[in-house]
Amino acid sequence: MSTRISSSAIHTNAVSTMMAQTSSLTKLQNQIALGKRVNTPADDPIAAVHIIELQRALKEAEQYGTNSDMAKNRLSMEEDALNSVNTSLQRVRELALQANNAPVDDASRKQIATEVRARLSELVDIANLKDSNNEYLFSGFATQSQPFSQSGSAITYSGDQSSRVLQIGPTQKVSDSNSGYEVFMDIAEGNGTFVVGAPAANTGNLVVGSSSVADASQWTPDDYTIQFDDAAGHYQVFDSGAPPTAVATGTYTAGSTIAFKGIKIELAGMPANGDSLTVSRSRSEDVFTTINKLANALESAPTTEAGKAKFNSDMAQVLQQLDQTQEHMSGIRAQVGTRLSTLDSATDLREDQKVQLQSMTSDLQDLDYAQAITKMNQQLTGLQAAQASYARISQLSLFDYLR
Amino acid sequence: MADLLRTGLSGLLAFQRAIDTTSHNIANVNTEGYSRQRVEVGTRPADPYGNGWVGNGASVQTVRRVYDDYVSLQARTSSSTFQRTDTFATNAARVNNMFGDSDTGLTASLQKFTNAFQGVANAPSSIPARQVLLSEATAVKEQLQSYNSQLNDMDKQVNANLQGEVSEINAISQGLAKLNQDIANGTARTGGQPPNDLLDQRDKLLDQLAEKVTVSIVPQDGGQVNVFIGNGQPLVVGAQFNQLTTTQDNFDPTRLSIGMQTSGGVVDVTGNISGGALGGLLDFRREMLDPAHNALGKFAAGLADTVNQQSAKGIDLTGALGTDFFKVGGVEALQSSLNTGTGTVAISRGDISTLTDKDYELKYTSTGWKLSDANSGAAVAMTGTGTAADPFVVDGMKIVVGGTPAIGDEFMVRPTHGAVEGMDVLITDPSKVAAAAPIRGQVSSANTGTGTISAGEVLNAANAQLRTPVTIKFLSANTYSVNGAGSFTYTAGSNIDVNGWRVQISGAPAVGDQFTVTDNTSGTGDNRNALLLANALTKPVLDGGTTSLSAGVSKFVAGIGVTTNQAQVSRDAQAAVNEENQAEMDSISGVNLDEEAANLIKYQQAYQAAAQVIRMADTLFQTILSATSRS
Repeated sequence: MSTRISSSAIHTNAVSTMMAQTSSLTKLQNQIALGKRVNTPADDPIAAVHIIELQRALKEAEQYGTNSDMAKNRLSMEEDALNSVNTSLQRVRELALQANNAPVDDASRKQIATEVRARLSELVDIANLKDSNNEYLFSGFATQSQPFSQSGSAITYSGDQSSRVLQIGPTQKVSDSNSGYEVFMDIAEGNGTFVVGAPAANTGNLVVGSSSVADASQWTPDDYTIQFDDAAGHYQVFDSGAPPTAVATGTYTAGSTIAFKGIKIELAGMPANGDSLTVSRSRSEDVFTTINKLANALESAPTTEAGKAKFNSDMAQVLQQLDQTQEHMSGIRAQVGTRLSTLDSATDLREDQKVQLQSMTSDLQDLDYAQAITKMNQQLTGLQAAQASYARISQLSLFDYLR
Repeated sequence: MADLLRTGLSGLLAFQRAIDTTSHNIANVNTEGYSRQRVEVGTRPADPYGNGWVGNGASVQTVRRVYDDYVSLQARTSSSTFQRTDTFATNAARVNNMFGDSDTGLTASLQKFTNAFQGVANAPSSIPARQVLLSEATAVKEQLQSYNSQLNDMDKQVNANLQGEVSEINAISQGLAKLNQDIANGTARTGGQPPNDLLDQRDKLLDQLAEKVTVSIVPQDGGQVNVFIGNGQPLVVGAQFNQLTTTQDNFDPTRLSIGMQTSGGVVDVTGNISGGALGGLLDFRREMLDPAHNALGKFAAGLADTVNQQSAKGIDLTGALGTDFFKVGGVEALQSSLNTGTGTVAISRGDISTLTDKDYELKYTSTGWKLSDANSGAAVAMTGTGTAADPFVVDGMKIVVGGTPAIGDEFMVRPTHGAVEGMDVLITDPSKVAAAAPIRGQVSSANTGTGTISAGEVLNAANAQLRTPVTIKFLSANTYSVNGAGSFTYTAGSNIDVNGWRVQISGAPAVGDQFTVTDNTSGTGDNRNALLLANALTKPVLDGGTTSLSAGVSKFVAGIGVTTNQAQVSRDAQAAVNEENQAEMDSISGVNLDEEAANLIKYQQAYQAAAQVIRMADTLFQTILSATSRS
């Protein structure tokens, strides 16, 4: 700037400097009052966008938290239901063992059958539980229709096989339920590989005991028939081909086992000529059918040798199926437990992430008060000095000295 | 002997003029645009004598204002630039403040809407959860529309400001033309002496004009100046001036253009105007307001398309296939009022991922229809032939042309401008939210293998057979038939696509095992489509599949922040430059009272001395008189 200055410039310069200082003081004061450094995108465009994104992520994390809580509620309800199922099954098993003891007479068995049927109804009630949202817990997607209905001794399932999945993280999902099909219906028959059946037409007193797989590598899944062709226990094993092919032969002696294709069946008593056994691949049997079979067996009061043998076979198979069912239920409970612990660890992770997001937002957005107030004091001093100096300089004039 | 009396008198007169001028300067110390004036005093012609030239005193040559044309040119240029950036920054700050709050911004609303889908996924049969979703959808719509109407208000404000600036410019032009005339007359009357105060007045008007628009000033003989704007549009020529007018845009009657009234009619000069408040307003409209409008529209179109497409792949609580969730305004094709043909243009949106936030001009030329970027004028290539069967496809649009256009006919194409205005939430019944998928995979309970089937997803909701039950039966361990027909090779986990859906079967199914895919009408507890909807909102659907909706908003807000920030920074920088130029001009032309006081003393002393000369001339004369007196 040149050395020459006009009189009005002395005033305008001083005023514009003071205005600039007042304006930045106002801005500082605004920041201090709001406690925020970034109030509009223009204050710091990069930070502003980060803040928007961080707050979005925070809201998203909060939603995942809500989802997680919902899943946890439902899974806890399911866990409670499964515990009740387990208690019922335990009792049914005790009753079955009690009824299977020789001293128990037909009348007592019928009494036991009454309690078994009561337990069956109890299980149906559990299977028809509703959640807090008035939805059936075990009906798959068809949450508005009652999944299990009982007519006479038959239980039908009208839900589906699906289970709902909730999102508890950007990519993490967890099932909040198991369908009734999965829990109550889809239980493997027999020992899980095959099941032995004795046709009602058998006339001997052959009793089917427990069965197992001795060597899984030799087992070829198929539906087999063991055909006894004399009274001395000689048998042939046929596969399901047309015409059937004999895959094994042998002679059974009372109280021994029949083994073929890597499987073993424990038997007692003797078959009559023409009696047979079926050895089928496991399909699924629902828990209600199993318990119903138990009740039916208990109510059967057999009189003939063959009838008694059938009762014994039925009881042995029901007991095996009950074991299978309990194992199946433990599997489901383990699944639910795993999901609950997944939810817990996801929650921990999310809480850490939320703290992180909040502190990042605060770093970007919040004002450093110490810095801001120091700056404000500096500017106040500057403004006061400008005002004081202007007041003095503006009084100077050569005209004051003209006499 | 020289005329002592006259010489003394000449000094008296000259210093009186000087004192007059000093007083004039002092009186105008606070007059805006005033340039200090100086009396230029010269010697009067001397008289020749045999022994030399004897001086005859002083006379006033001229009264001149102290003014630097170069510095004033600089000051005007910087003032035009400053006013442009100031107008831009002030308006930009208003847009910036609109999108400022991270708690209530568009990203927050979008996330709430996404969260509401998760809420429905948590409890698909819950009507309250669905009601919350619809409220959030309405909130997003209302927020977009509130932004849009604020931008519309700003558009109107820009129109009003344009009118105001134009009328001020006209008043200035008129003043300039009159002053040109007065200056020419004044100069002629005084034989070429500058009419300083008139010149100051004219320069002040030119300064004011430079604040409105960038001008170029060409001095003429006789003291007049000609003033041009843009690239040579004559605003003032001598004592004549051309009126500026605001006219309705050829394409969009709601916006104003700047025209110049010439003898040949009104010429549109909008594109030529730069700098000053007027240039700042036009730049703001073009660089910030229109893109902001379009960016909101693009977001709305992207949101609607994403949600509608996924919605159509689901079923609602009643089991019916999902319907459109949102509707948005379509592509605008505005016909120029100058078109002479009967050409028609119908445009629909195509692939959302290629949609831009630009506007275009579609012009019929001798070589057919040509599309160009409305701002840059760059040609944009189109594929297709423009018929209904094979439309022009370009940047997310499908253009069908018809009628008989005349060569030169133009249409303004705005792909996203009207989207927000026409936006609405179409679903009002909470049960109509398509939270479930229409099909589900099931395993037959008689199966003996270990095969499992996935729940299934919809590929094409329009397939008429979508919800017809299908049975997949295994013929052997690695072949299967569909509904009893065909024999397909089975690979565990691979996709099986039938009737517009897709499932995967995995594990080892046994011969005779059956899997069914059935209608999911009863699936009130199914949340698969709600989850897909929530996820679709986070997927990159814009800008060629690189930008998600929320990232699009961030980009948009960042863009506004950066533009505003830049505008404010360059405004502050220009303010400094401008102040410096004004100060320099002021340091040359401004009045300093101390200086004037000193001059006053100087001229007073000289005046007193000249008076002494006259007194002495009198004394000398008296001496001679008394010497020759008889008494």
